[in-house]
Amino acid sequence: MRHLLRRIGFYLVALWVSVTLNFLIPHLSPGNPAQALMSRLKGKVSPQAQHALEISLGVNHDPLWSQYLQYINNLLHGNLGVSITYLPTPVSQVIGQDLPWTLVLVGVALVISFVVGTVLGIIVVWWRGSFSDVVFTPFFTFLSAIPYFWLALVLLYILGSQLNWFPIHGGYDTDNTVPGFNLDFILSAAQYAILPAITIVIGSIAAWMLGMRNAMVTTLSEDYVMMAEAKGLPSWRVMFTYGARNAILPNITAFALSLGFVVSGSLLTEIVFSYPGIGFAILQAVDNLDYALLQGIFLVITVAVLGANFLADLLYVVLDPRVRIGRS
Amino acid sequence: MLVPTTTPSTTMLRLRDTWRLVTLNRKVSFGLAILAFFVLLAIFGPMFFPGDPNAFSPDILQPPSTAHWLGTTQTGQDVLTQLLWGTRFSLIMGFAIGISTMIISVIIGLVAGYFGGLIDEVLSLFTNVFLVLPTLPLAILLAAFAAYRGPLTIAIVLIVTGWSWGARVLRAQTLSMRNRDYVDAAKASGENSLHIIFFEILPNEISIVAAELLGTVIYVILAETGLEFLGLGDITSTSWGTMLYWAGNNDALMLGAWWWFLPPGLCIALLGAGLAFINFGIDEIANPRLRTEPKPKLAKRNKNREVAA
Amino acid sequence: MTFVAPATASNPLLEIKNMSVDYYAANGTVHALTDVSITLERGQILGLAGESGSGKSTLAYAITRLLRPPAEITGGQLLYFPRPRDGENSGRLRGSSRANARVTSSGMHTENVEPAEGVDILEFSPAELREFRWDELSIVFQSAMNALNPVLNIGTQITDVLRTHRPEMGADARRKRAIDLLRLVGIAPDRIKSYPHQLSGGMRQRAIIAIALALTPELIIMDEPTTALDVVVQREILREIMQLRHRLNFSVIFITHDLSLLLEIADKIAIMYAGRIVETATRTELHQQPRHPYSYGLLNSFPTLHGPRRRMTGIPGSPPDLRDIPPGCAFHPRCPFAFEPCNTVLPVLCTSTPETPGQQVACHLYDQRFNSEGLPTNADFAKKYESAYETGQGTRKAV
Ligand SMILES: Nc1ncnc2c1ncn2[C@@H]1O[C@H](COP(=O)(O)OP(=O)(O)OP(=O)(O)O)[C@@H](O)[C@H]1O
Ligand code: SF4
Ligand SMILES: [Mg+2]
Repeated sequence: MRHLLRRIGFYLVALWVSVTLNFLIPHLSPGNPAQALMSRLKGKVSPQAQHALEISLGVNHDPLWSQYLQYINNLLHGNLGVSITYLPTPVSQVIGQDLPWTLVLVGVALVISFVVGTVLGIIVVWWRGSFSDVVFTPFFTFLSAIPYFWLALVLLYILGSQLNWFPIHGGYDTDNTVPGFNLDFILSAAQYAILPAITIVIGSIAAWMLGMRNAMVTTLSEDYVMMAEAKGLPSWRVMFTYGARNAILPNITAFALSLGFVVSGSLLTEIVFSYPGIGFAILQAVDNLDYALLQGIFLVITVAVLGANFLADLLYVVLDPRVRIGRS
Repeated sequence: MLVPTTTPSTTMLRLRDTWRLVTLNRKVSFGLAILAFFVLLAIFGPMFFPGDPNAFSPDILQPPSTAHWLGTTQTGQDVLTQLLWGTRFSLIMGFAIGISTMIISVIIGLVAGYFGGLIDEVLSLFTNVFLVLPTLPLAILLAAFAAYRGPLTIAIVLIVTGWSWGARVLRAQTLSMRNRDYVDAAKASGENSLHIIFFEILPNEISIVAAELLGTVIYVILAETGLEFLGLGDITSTSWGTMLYWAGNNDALMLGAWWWFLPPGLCIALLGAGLAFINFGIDEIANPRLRTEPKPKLAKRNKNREVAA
Repeated sequence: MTFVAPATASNPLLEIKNMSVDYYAANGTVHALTDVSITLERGQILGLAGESGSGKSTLAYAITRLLRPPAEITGGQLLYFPRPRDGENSGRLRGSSRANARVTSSGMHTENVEPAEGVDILEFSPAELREFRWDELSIVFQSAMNALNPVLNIGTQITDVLRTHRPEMGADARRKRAIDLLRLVGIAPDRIKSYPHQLSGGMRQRAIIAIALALTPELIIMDEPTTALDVVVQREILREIMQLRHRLNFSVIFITHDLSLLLEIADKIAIMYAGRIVETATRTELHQQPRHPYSYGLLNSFPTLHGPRRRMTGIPGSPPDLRDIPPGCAFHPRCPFAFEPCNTVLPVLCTSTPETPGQQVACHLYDQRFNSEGLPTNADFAKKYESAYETGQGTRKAV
């Protein structure tokens, strides 16, 4: 319990840092490009919204600390500013529309790649010295270095554009289905998600596989694994209950630590597929100099990544009695 | 134990030993070969294909041919020329930014690990926070608010988002080193802390620094390409990332111009894999358990019988 | 005619014959074991002593077939003589591997006794090996602190042995047996649900011994079972082991640095140096008169309660690099007695004097061809070691 409380405390600090960064970056950047933008906006939004935007974009002239307090106050009221791309829609609403797409796509793809990658890591160690180490490990090493969005381009070109197996654009069939809780829409969305999901899985799986392999190898040379072997236990039990059961702990930690990186790659993947998620919103925001939207996206993704980290913590606590039960 | 005296000859010997170990490891040799290939490409490639890599020509969207080995872009630029100049740019950027990032990691990691206590608490917290923040959105935010777009912006953005991993690893290593005999000996002889950190401890962590540097360079190249692909880099320069940006912007995919977007990504993946191989090889040298060994044999029995009798 | 073997007759349990093990390291081949032969009698304690790195653990791992790359067994046999149980358990073990490893005990060749048959542990198939492991042989590891799986509770780590080897036992029976075992080694039964990190060092060690006893094996190898513990707990656990052995009657191979400890508990002692056995003797023989200069040095590296003028001296120098073992007698660079043949001729184990036929030593001092001056006594040993120190030969002290 104490462990989890400490983690929560840590996440709160991380959240505070990201909020503060969000506030400080525009204020500290020399020749803030948002200035020009604000003058363009004059008269198009309500004075209130304009004031909030000025604060979050760092072009207000109130004292810094008072701006900071107002900024935090705005955040606490869920006020992330107004999106310029979708004027006058509030940023929170834009993100609210895009977030579910990303959460489902990236969430499902990540779980799949972690589970499959971890299992592959175990298998590679099980078949050690044979084919697996000569072919598998180098192949996955190569895979681990491919940029997600390039992989997306290649898959899109071959499987989508040339072979026509998958739709190549968007998140669902906009002509024949209506978004909502109906079977047609869900099937269509699933079909559109397959290719981006494959990209994310292929892009990230190598990390878990290689991580699990190294953790397994290290664990298998521990004395308790030797003892399990000496006990005459069946080799699958030695492998799983003694080897993998312990090796997965560092792999979960690694998973949590590289989440931010994987999510970043996934966002670029969305862009290539014009998937209607957060990644695509980023592209829109960059193209339209929609600073408020960028800030909002950074915050929301941070919260999502911290949340996923916390889930990984929970899993770790469930799996490791040393953290679950202190010394008695 | 005494402070190790590093006379030139022992240093040379150690270097030679290290070199031997490194070249004995197949992963390292393979990775080094790939890296050498790209370095040569970056140095000599542009010499054989001089001229402006972005020069337009009337040969629009040509597939690979003898005139244009890797075809041309929509504005008639020669893809191979771009690729070679891009290799030079991306490699220089990758290593320059990678090394700068590593310097930050080394300073923060070693200081935190060596001093411990409150300094460590604060620096570790800082490191861990930056580790969990999603890098790309933060990088995008930084790049978007920068008044000018160019290599320097990219460098700052990547350093800010990239230092934490190496710092974390080096802190852990330093923590385990700070009570070694040679550190105690240096302390006892009244060396100041900075000297101990950077002249006694750092040389002993050099293999980890090297491994982390390679990892950082991979990160930098991947992230840089990502930013450029989004149009947040200097789109007038020629790099692997901007090539992909223009290919993406001009619908190379829809036009079927695979020769345009395939080569830059392949280069990134190859170079990344090469660096990763060196990295894994160093891991194996440092941790022999990771090495792949043949299965135990019971076959060569009785070999020693006669010798012993 | 029925003939009952006399009490002194050899009744071997394990016969180690010419075992050699190499480690293939990047910077050379480590000859960790060279031509090691020794016999363990049923029901006895065999003590193995030697400095760090002399190959004791390597021998233990070879016997349990736990050696992994880069280790390789380059020669030898490990003959195991299963108890002729009329039970079902040893059935498979005595099966197939008998055919290719039918060897008679080299000890007694009395026509009247049906020669015991040994099976070569090195020839076991994976299935036979699993059968052999823990049912016949269990091992307590050197670093016992790390020998328990940190994420499984103690009970599970006992019962998974039972589940594998005693499939006929139900869950309740397994649990009951686990509790009995914990009681046997002095752990409260309510600890069965505890995880290793919740136990003290001594309790963990006891728990491991409980696991080792789970199937009442014939032989338990104990590789420095108490080194990680403080002295009081060490003593306690040793006493415990001795009592258990008295009740359950298993054989033990006991590995330690501490020769004086072996003098208290072992029936037979083998001294190892640089991967070879340099002396074997009963504890009384060794106590009265160690024969090998190295044995003497080792015996006096530790303060003992016995003997008038024994003091801590230790052996000058340090053990050799096993990648590059000195020619002749490997001990010669450190030996205060070293003389002409020592750096060229390899001494082999043979009976030192007719009075103590069981005491074998590998040293040229006992070879009539080289040394006709009579055998060294404790006083000679002491004198030589003293002068070795005085002349500054032993500047570094290795224990
Ligand atoms: N994996 C390995 N690779 C190379 N050499 C090894 C390996 N394992 C052990 N050795 C070497 O084999 C020799 C014998 O080791 P072993 O562990 O059997 O010694 P030991 O007598 O048990 O020592 P200790 O009393 O310290 O436990 C040592 O010189 C050691 O350095
Ligand atoms: S053989 Fe020679 S060197 Fe070896 S122990 Fe005997 S006297 Fe010493
Ligand atoms: Mg040992």
